[in-house]
Amino acid sequence: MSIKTIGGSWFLILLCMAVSAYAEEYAQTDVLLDMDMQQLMNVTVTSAGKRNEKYYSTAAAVYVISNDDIRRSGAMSIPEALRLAPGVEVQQPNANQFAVSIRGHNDVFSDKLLVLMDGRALYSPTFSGVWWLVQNYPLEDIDHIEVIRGPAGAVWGSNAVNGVINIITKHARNTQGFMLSGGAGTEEKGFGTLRYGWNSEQANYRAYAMIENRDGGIYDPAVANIWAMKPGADTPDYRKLGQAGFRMDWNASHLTQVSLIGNTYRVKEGAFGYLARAGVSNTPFITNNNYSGSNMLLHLDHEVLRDTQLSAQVYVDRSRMEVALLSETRDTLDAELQLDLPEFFRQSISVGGGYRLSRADITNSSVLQLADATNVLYSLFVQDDITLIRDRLKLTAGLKAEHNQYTGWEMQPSLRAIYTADQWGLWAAASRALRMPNMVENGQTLDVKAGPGYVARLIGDGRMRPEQVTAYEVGLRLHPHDDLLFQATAFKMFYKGVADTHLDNAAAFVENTYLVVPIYMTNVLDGNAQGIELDLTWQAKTWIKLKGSYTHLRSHYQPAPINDAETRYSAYVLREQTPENRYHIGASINPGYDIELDLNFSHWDRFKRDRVARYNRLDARIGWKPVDGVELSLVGKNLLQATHKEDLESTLEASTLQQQSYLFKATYRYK
Amino acid sequence: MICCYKSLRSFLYACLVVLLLSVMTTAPVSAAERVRAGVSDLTSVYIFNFIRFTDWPANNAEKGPEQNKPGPLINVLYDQKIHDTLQSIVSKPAAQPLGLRLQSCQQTSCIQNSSVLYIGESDRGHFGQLLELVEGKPVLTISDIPGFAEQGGMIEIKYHNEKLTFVVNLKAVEGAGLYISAQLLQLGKVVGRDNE
Repeated sequence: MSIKTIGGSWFLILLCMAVSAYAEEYAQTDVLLDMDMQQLMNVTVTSAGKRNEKYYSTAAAVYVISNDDIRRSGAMSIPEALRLAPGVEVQQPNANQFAVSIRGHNDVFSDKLLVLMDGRALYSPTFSGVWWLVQNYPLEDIDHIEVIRGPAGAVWGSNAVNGVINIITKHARNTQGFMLSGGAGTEEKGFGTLRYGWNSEQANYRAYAMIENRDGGIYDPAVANIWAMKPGADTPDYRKLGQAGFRMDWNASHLTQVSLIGNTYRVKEGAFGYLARAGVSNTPFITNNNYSGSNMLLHLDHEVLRDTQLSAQVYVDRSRMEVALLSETRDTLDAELQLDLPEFFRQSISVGGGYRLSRADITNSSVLQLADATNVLYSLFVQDDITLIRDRLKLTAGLKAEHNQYTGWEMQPSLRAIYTADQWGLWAAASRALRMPNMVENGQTLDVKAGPGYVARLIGDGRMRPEQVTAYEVGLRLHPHDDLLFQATAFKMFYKGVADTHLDNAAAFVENTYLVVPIYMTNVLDGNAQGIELDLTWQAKTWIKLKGSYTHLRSHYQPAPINDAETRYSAYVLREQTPENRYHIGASINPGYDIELDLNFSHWDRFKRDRVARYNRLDARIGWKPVDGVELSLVGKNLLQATHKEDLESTLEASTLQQQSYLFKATYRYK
Repeated sequence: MICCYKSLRSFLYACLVVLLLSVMTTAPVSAAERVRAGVSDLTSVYIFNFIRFTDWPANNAEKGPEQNKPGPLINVLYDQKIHDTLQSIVSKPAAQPLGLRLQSCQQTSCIQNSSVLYIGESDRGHFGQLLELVEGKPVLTISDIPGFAEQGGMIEIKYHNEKLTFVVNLKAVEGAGLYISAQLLQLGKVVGRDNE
């Protein structure tokens, strides 16, 4: 028998197996109704219905914030809701800016986190970070938020260096009927959401509109008062928001689901800070910033063959920002394709690819020069889930190859293994992820600090290479019964080429009548971070649910290859950027059928070289459902002190103090 | 050497034939074992079957319009998808003999007057109060909330190893004056027996 014949026979066998596999039936209710109970108990539930079970079998540090968690927390924005996830650092330098990160490197420009909403990337290719101010959605219609801590570049792609935040909005089927919610408070001057959901024979729809008007913070006496602010008075960092959108979910057939999601928004904020006037001084400004944007996403899930799932997605996104430093209009087109192949010799393979075209049109200011640019990113990935012991031991190997225009092809591999028993699981992972260079690192000049006769200028001249992290993680998951889940993760991450600034006095030059001291944006540090993350969710009784988490992070950075005063300072600052110890304790109590009481307490150690002192935070909510469809709630935030400082100023805006605040909210639902 | 090759070739042929036969003969069995369904479709059909295997006290809902009495009234709370799927089931020929009626109503009177109360997973924190409302009344309570049966609910639908199973709290069922057929009980896990 020739090799060719053997090959042909094997092909015949595989074809038979494929045909027999395809003979498996996807049962609609008509078929199920004809089965007896014993047969029904042998029916396999499709993966889409696995709900949280799938997280228990993931070899990664995963946490899910549910819609109910968000509602009961009293959060008014997505970053506030992220405070509920263990290991996520959320700090607010002022009323409008949020610094959100995982495992350190926290800053309003945090650039090692991949944030997605319904599969649409929210991070900006301009600075690799997320502009949280404009990332809004009616919180009532967010189904859940998945938080994956640690590198996930092999699956999700670049920027997933320290983690992924995946915001999933509700299927339109689950938002049927009319909903009106609104309220006001001491900081929230007024807010409201109107949503209506309806359906046709095969499709469900919803449309919504939301508005919000929020007050500024309180002036921080520790910040030099170059704006002539009145101590104790409100600062100009207010926000006004208007947003509207829709979602359609169409069951084209029992094998094909199509979703179309669109949003449009306009945000206005007050901001204050300073601009460096070269050769003269830092000049204070108080201004109004404007943001607007629209996006639309089309997603298709189709079972092309038995157990072969095709996911295709395309979105367009236009965003515009007009701030003191620049104006930018960005247009993005993104297309992604993924094919999940059927299990074959105990292997489940997924392959896919993506393409993103993003163009920025920039209007410069007196302090910032940045050329218009088009970014093109394309990628291919393959992931293989290998079942070594059925229902027990699984190995996952993945590789993502991504091409960016600055450094070409980059590889992000990962290897993960998990052993699951009925009541516990143990996993380990080794992975490598990258943060690709961004637009400002490839062409920006920004005057950041000025004095008589000099200016310090931040220069991104393309010398920046990708930041690399190699991470080793182990995790334990215990769920002795359905009401208790305990997770522990230990990790060690090795960073190479961490980006920061290199102040090069030797390269100073004279421009006009002043000296320009260049600060290059480049890879200046190597380092490592290690820590543990613990979290517990326990439905102790039907009327009380307890949650707790503890995060310990210790990091160390060394200037390399540059070793001067500036990079030594960077190493010191990065080490101190997030507190070493944090913990959170939460309780959701139902003292009566109509009453809800929620308490969330968190503790933060001092950080940023003691410039942010240790603080405790207590948020509370009382909810009451007097009649069917009506919910009233009273929320108190920062209840332990009148004001507290949560973070330092950024290059763009000054910091303000966070205030104790109260708000009242009413929600009415009618079907 | 040639004879060895021939033997090897025969052996490989034999292996292939055996393999083909085994694949072909086992295909129908594996197909029968590997029927797949959406979790909401399957849960809804479970609910339908639980009703078929349950008897209510004589003065309550009877099973079948032929007795000129209204059939069981199912009240689905906090799960729109289950409600929608049951809506399609009640109008199907297989369900018509039971005369099932369906609603989704959170008012106390609706809850107490229903024959079957399905509580969706999103009401996880409140189901204790709902159970108090129907305590002692002939209302078959069903949910997929983890721990539902252990904590006073009658039937809990559980997801395990990609399949659905169920737990029956016999004490709660008998306390409400309901009777569930032994045919059903032998398939699920039973808690709350008298001797427990």
